Amino acid sequence: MIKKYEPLTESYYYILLCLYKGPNHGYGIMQDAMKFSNNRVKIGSGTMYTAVSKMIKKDWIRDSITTDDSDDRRRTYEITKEGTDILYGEIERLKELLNSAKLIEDKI
Amino acid sequence: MGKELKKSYRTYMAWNYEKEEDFINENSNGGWQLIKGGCFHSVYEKDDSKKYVYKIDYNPKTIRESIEKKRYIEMFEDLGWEYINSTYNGWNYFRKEYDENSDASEYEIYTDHSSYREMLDRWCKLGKVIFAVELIISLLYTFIAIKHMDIIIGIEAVLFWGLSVWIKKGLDIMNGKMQDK
Repeated sequence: MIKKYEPLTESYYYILLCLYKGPNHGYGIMQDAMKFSNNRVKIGSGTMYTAVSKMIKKDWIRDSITTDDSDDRRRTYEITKEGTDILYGEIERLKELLNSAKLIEDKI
Repeated sequence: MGKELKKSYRTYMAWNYEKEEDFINENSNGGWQLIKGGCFHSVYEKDDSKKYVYKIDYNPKTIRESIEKKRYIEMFEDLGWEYINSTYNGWNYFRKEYDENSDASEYEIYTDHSSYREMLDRWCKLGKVIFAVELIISLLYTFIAIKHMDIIIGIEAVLFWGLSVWIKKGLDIMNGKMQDK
């Protein structure tokens, strides 16, 4: 049976997490991912492009039309309903992983 | 205003693209800044005032899909890269001014294994088609050469076999890169 939620790569996960907060552009996503991960996850342009174009194809995110900041011509992205479901699924999976570790924590 | 220009007729193969990247970066250190990259022909401009880090990236979507090309270039620009040009066959050149105080990660475009592999795989898909075509031509030429006992066609067949082996080697090198980074 094919699993509904495949584990996401860190880049995918952080991009979805950042866009869950609200529409953002590439630079904003990169900054947020760094902030969330204490400077550990830095997403490069090639990785960001590959992830974003893949997720657009999968309909997890889409181009967002910004109405405010008319002079800001940067391309921004937003999360879709499907992407939100994927993100929730991943968060559940991560919680389960963490809980599993806690079960044997005293033995580590 | 007119800066000194230098043309370079240097060719490189997809599986050696990092070597070309190194070569371009060495030129930048020496004050020659790439202003147009190409698989056969590049142009440099003399400028000693700056130092850049150059990157070559393969993305065949820039050949025909103009919307995707725009998205691609904008993403690089958004993350601080200056777009230089694209070749007819999907290679793209970018640069960022070098700052010795910056972290090395500032100049990485692939920051996880899976996306790096995907980029190489985009080329390998094309490489496999070229290899298959070469192989068919080689077989065809061999067959005709034997049937007609024609030495010229025989020589051509050998050349095509050589090309096939060469492309197969390139594919193996690309596959090697996918394994070990």
